[in-house]
Amino acid sequence: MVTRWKKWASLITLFLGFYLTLTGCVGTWYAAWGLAPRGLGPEVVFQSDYRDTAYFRREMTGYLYDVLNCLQSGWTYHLWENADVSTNLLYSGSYRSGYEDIVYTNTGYDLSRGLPEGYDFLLAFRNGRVVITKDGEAVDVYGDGYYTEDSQWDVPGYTNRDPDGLENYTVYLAVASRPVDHGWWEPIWNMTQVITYVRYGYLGLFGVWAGAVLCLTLAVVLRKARREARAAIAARTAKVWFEVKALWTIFPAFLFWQLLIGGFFWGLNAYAAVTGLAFLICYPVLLYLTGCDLRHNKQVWKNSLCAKLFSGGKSAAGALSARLASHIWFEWKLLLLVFLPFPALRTLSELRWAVGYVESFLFFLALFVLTAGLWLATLYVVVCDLRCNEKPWRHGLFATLFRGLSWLWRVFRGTELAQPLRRRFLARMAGAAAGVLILAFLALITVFSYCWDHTGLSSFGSILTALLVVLLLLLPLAWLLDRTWLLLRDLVPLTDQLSTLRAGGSAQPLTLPEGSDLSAAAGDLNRVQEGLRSAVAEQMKSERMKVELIANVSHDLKTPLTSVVSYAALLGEEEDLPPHVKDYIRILNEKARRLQVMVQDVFEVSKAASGELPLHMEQLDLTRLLDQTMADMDETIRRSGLTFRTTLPSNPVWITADGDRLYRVFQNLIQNALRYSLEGSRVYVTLEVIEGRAVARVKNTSRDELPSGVDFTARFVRGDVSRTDGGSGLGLAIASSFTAACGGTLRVETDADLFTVEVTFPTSG
Amino acid sequence: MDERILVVDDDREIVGAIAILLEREGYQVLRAYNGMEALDLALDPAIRLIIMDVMMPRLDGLSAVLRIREKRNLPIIVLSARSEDTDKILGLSVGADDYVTKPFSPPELVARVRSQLRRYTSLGDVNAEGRMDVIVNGRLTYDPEGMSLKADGEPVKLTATETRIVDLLMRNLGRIFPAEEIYRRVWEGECFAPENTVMVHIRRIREKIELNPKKPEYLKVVWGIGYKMEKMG
Repeated sequence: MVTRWKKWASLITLFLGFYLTLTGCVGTWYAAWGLAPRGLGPEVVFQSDYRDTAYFRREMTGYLYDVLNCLQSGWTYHLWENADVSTNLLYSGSYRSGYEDIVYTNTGYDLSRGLPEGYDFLLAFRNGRVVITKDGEAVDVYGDGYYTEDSQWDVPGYTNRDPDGLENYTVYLAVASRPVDHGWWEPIWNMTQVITYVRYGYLGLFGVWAGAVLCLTLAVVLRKARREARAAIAARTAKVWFEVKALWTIFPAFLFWQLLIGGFFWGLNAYAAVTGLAFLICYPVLLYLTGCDLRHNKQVWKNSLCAKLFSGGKSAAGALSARLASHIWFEWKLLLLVFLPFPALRTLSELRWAVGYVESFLFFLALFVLTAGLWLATLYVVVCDLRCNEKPWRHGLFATLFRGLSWLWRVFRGTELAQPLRRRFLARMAGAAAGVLILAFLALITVFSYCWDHTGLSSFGSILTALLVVLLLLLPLAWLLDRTWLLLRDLVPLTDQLSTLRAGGSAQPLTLPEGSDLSAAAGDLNRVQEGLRSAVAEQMKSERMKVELIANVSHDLKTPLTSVVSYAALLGEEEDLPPHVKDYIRILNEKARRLQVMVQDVFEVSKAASGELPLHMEQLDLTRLLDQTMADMDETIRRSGLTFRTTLPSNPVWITADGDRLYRVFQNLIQNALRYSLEGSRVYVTLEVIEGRAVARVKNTSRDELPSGVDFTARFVRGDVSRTDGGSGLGLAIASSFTAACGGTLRVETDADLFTVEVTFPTSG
Repeated sequence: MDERILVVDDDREIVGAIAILLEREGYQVLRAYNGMEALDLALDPAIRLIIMDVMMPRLDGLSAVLRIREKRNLPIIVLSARSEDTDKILGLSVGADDYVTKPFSPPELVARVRSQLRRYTSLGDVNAEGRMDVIVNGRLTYDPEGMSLKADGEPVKLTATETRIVDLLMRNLGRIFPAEEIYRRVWEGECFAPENTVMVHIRRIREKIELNPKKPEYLKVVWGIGYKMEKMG
């Protein structure tokens, strides 16, 4: 088991090792390229006397050349010619120019006589050669006398180096044996300081490298723990939005890039720069986090702010924006989405010059954030719109325009189609002819101008040629128009014939002129007409036969029934019969009467259904008819024990119908209600006029449960299937067919036990 | 009574049943089973009434009626299984006096027979009297002066209100009266819903004057309009 601190240690050692290595590299690079060329190689660490260092030699040589340059050029400002200030470096330079010595010095002491008190290093340049005395001893300057890259002192005086006419110059440089801090920037004191720092620096660099090696070794040792640490990190980073991770991965790189190109970093103040640097320094850590995430988590982009916002558009925000978006024309959204970035980017690029100032930069940043935010919001809205709203592009300027145009086209088509066929085609042909004529005229002009310009024809000749060409071109068109005209001439009688046929009229067979395009169609139409006529005749014949058959059957049934009824009646009048026989006779009588009713009903309903019912149509007042019906059946109603609630209008409701048949309708309906209503319940009879239609309703509460899905107006259908009561089962069928025969409609509605029959008639007058 | 009635029907049982009914009423019944037989028997001058079926073999009822009408003037009741109005009109137009549809109710048939016979005898009286102030309408005779109504020559007992309704309707044969008008003229007042009241009286009058009150021939309801006394040809 890897303990918690081990994981931490593994990570810390890794990062520490990395940073130490990085620091070591930078330090080494600086030492190699920055310090070593200045004479501050690693050997300074081991040299106790700073005057033995290459650095000291380089600096002293530099001073020597400085003084020489001053003497040669006469410009003295390179020299610190200040005798009042104490210093660790004394110099004097003189130039013998024939009659006088030119002397530059920072001391009143004559260095040619030897070193003053407290100074034990003297560099003397005389007669083109350097002599150095250190601690009273002469130093070997030139070695074998030849200058090489490795020569310790880079001074004039080697045999292979031309003294370059410096024989007349004399320079003395004296260095204090114990340099002290005089309180100002003083070369020798500074030199000792630099050397001390560099020494510490080298020690530090060594320490850094040692630490780096140690840490990396530890990191390698702890790599197992780190693997688990990575997993733990990944588990935590999984909860972070993808956008944040992307930001921390990309943004520092951007900063780094800006740093490299020296972009707006310099325009920022120190704090911003420090923050940026801190970011950069943290960058490896952040990259490491990203790496862990990418390595251990799958589909890292799934957990993102965008995904959350867009999660199916089901989120409240998504739904809201989709609803809001649905009110905006689709084109606006697209325009915003596509064209917003362009002016924004343009403005931003123009504002780039202002980036040098902090305030302007903030303004720039705010503008950038605002624009980007607006664009993202638009994008979000559009995406939500596309996901949530069905076909959002249907709601837009172009879609609306298109709909408007298609509506106009439909209206135009409608008004055009409303015209008679002949006029319609005449208008179309006129339009086509006008177009052709305009084209012909244009062609005429074109051909004429061509002839006039490019051929040697006279104007008359040109016109003649043009006319000839255009007429040749017009010939097939004229032929087409002629044929169309003929077609139209034949089409009108054909359509007229069709209309007549549809209206049921019997028209003469259609004959079209010989060679007409439509002769075949006319022939077909004639055949159809013939077939239709014979079919209708056939049907009427069969209909008549059906009614006749029913009449005959009805007659054949009635004849034996007459005997049954008569003899049953006679039997009933017999006296001295035992009571049970009388009971039998009563049943016989009853059933015979029912049979009689049924035969009559069947006959009538069949006739009505076949449209053979003779009708005597007249204007009548439906209110009164209902009133009369109720009055007529008053006795039966009173005996039934049911309560009738009648709501009739106070004024007459005039309809056109056969009064006797309509009476039968309502008689049947009320009988039906009486027969099948729940005892003691109420029956509602209402009449009202709704939109020019008289609507009469009979509502009752059924005694038995009403079966669902039954057409009550079908023949022999009753609420109960057993059929043991007195009805023929034809009451509603008769009511329905009689109503239909009178031009009304009868509709049955059942709602639980409520049985409603609705009779509707168009009102008249 | 020794009135002979000829009953013609190809269905022997029906003839038998009618014969029983009529003989019980005291009539003598002659039977025929087709048109030709009927023609032969119809010549018997003692025959006062013929009941004739329509659909019969050899000679159908309507043709027989036509032939009989050529020679004799006596009431003929046509008996038919056809209940259509057109059939009835056809039957009556060839010379029948009444049209009874099968299956008939025995008492109704007897009542019709009686009515026809009575009219046949009393009609002559009326015509003989030649009284022009009496309104004759089919079986009904109304004397406006005495305000008395006779059906088949027999006085009908009516209450005062019924008499006034009959008076109004008999004086205006064939005219349709809405219930309000009848009420206003008979009761001489206004009523909110006169339909019920009028209907009750109409029904009572029917029971007194109609042969079959359930299928009235004289006092009719014109549905959706009013009431009228049918004018008989």
